[in-house]
Amino acid sequence: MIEKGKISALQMGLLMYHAILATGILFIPATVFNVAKQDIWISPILASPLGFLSVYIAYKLNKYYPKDTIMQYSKHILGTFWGKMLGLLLLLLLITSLSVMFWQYGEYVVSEFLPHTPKSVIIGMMVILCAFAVHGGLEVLGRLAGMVFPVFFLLFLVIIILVLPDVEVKRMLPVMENGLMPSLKGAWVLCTWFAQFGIIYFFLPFLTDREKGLKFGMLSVLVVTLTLVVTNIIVIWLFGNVTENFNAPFMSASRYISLAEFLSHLESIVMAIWIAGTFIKLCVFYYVVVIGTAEWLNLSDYRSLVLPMGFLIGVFAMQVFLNSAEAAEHFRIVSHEIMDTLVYGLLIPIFLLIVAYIRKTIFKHKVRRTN
Amino acid sequence: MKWVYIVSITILVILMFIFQWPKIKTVEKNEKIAFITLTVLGWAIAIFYVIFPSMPSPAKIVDFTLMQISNIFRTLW
Repeated sequence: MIEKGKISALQMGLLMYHAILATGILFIPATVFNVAKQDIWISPILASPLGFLSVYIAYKLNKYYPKDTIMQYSKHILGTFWGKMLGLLLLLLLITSLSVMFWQYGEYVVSEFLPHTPKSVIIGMMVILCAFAVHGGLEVLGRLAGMVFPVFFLLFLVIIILVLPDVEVKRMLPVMENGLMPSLKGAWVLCTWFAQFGIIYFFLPFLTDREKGLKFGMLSVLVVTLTLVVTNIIVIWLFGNVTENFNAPFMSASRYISLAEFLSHLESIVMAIWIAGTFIKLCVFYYVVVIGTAEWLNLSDYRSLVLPMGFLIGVFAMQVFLNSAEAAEHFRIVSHEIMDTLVYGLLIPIFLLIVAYIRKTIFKHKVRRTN
Repeated sequence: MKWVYIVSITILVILMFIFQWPKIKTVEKNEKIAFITLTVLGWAIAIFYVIFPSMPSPAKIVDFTLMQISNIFRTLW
């Protein structure tokens, strides 16, 4: 097996929590508000079945091939040639997705906090940092996630408690003014995030307690849903109809905190914590890309690929959008039309599961007949 | 200005090579081939983007392809 390290199921759940929520907590409220208006807090509940489904499918595939990641069992299921082709498609989608994430991180840091620093420096530093973490292996990532999560969650709660004096519950009313349709549309936007739970298929083979994999995967989806619901409720209580004016409402919310003229400008703490979360997210996807490439090429060690892959991703991340108009167009396509995360997180695993199921059952019948 | 970028990208790639090459074990031939291929690919793409800055990125190509596929499905519907 290419990865010698092992993580516990809990660490996997934490990794997935950060991998979904790090960008979600900032950008979801404003993006969903465009379609769902004051019902944005219903959308995560409606979209969560998709997350449960992708975790369950990855778990089912892992049951068929317990020691393989998707790159290996796609070869067992579809044959060498088509398996390799599917793997290549998966890798290309993951690399483009990761480059967009790096761009998003760079753009956000430049626009909010370091306006005079060139974006290449910010993205380059993050790529190098992630490269060191990924070079350390899966265990390092698991422990990092375990370290960041308590701080992340605690600060999330502290921010919520501190904004409570400013909230007004009636901004949420009327609930379901135009029926369930707006929140359903918002749920479709959220599928972009929930479908990313599919990449759990890269972590399930490396668990120490494999029987708990499903449980903690599901728990991770549940906690992500709850966090999103709470975030959306707080944002809508605080901002009401002006939510769409903010790029990242939760960050703007922390700017409003001012307790007794003493506790103010908390956004820098939020930013620090957010960067820690994003760092884990980027590491998770970076690791997935690197280990996927190594398995696709049948290598025995993935560490030599970390730096070249990082360079490639950095180049793509610098070039991914030429201006913010193109970025807006991309995010409109991704969130309203068709999404790449849905393809690699859900459609490809479903396809593989169906083929594997057919093969296994037919093969079983054949064996029975010959006996 | 372009040659400054080209030279700095080349220096970066050489540094990466110096850092990583001694760490790959001598018996692992596939690793070496994969490492060299990926490095050269990254270098070539970086130079390509420096010379032609307005070329589309992979993300836009993926968007375009997915849109075409979804349009086909929409007409079939």
